[in-house]
Amino acid sequence: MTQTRRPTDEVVAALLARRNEDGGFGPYRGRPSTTESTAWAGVALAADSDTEGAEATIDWLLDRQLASGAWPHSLEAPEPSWMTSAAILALSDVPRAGDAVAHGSRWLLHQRARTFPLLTRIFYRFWPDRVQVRLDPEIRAWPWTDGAFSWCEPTSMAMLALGSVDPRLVPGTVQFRIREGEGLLLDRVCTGGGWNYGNSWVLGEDLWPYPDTTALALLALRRRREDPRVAESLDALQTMLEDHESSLSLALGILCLEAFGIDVASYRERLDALWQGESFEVTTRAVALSSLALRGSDNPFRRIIPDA
Amino acid sequence: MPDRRSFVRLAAGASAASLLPACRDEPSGPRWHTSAAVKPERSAVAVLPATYESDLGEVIRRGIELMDLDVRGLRVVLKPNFVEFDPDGVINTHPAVVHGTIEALRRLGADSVVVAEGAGHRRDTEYLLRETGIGFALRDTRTRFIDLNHDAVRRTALRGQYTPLGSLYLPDTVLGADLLISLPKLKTHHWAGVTLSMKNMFGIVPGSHYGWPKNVLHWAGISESILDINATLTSLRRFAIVDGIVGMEGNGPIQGEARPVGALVFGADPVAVDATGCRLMRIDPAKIDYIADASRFLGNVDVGRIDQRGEAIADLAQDFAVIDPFASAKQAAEVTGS
Repeated sequence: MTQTRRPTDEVVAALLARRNEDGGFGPYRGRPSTTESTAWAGVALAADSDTEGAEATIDWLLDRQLASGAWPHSLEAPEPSWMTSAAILALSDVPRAGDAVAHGSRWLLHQRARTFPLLTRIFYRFWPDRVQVRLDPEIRAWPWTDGAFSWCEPTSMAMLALGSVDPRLVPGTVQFRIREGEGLLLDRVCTGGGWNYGNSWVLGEDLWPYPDTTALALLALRRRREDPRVAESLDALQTMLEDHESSLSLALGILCLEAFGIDVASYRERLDALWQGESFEVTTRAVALSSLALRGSDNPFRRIIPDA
Repeated sequence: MPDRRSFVRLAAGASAASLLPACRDEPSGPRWHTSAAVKPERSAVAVLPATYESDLGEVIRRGIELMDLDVRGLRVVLKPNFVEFDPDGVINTHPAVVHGTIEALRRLGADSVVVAEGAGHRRDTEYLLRETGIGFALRDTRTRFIDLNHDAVRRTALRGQYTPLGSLYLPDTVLGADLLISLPKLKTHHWAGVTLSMKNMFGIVPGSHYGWPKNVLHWAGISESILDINATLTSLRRFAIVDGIVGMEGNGPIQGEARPVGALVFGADPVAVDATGCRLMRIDPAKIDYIADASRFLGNVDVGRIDQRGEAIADLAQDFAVIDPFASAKQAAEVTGS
């Protein structure tokens, strides 16, 4: 009997080839397992009904949560990490992970980026035409690392992680933090829509947006879909994807646009073609997201609408 | 008024400008570990003319030989600069230079060559490999790429104390190299003044630990971080080849304008190489904070201590535009070494 090829077959096979003996996944084949790679692999395997594989990733994550509630980057780097958001996202639907998710969410809620000293903020307020980077320094969302500034991706991921958690498991301050995240993203939107890594204008020049950061920011802002900056960014994302050949950007773009109810058939065909052709090695995160994007159902982002 | 260094630290670190008073403490003593004090009596640098259409494998082989670098049997890590992509820009090390360097190293008997980079702005390495053309250069030469943003790491004590960081996670691929070759683009830099072989080492700091951009380094001070990272890499054997065939002037390292120079710069002393790169841009290296500081312990800036080989700098130097905060670095620039 001839089996029909599923678009996800190659991708899932590529993902499984990266599984480490400890049940986790590294960012590339043969690399030590990390929280982010394992989390995304777990989400993809669960969507593919690979219960055993998904359970192993859950075990991996639950075994490695720190006493603070955060997750580390990996065994080799045991400090609390921005990757905590990915772990929460991966575990938020897992009944046996309820306590871990609640604990992790509380840690994430307390992560707040650094901002300028008071005098600088005053300067920003009164001489906005003299600044070198255009932004509102009063907004403090999420950083990549403790003691650094707010950036788009960690903010978007934290909002999505907190938005995925059963509201009964997180303190009421979650709404304040999600509002803060929305404020940051809307403050940093690029001219014409979309998001760079976190700035939109430096030294008199507009920065250009990236599809992957734009897709994550839009997913985090779904509640604000009526905001003209969100609508403009949806258009910008589709324009960017027209000539952007990469698994990560296409996969995140598809998952985002689909969550907004936009037809993604042509993008999905291109992602499938990319996987059929000779490409460059990509991260496990990109493999896992490609698997999710090619499925055409069970988009995990559909159920997540960070609500302030 | 703030000095330029503290101004830049706040502007870049928090991604915004500040007019706060300067807060940099002047060092009371050396801010580097004794093991990082490797400044030689004299350094050699070669400048060779080149175009992207020339046989770069041959030009680079000549450059390496001119510098008496023996690569036989060495495991070499090449660190180009591909931080971002702009179809109309000249941001990155040209793929022909990467291709030519790989060819030259193999002809000269290197045991292995890998190309490694941890892009500073974008997480989408696949996109950068494809669009910059470097991925195809690697495919043509059957060369492995290591994404330094996601390499296995070791927490490494810094051999400098310019920043308060103390240690950083650094990638095994770099720390395990027999020879680390920095392969930067010749560019001006809006926060640091110039970006050459030393600033290129920001790309070894893994994004998966420090983010995109690597903002911890900005808060710690860009110049200071360059110094601490390069002080720490004195544990390795190093070399540099600067792609100055077409450089970037003005608002570098991303949004500046292309400026043809037609030169490759070779050398084992990163400070001397960067000083020469500055002179090719008619920028005074002694007025670039981190190069001036690096000349105290890492290498030579003075033309009198640099043996110039190959082409005369004066024959190739171009008057690169810089943004206002670095205008004074242009005023006293003198082109020597011919």
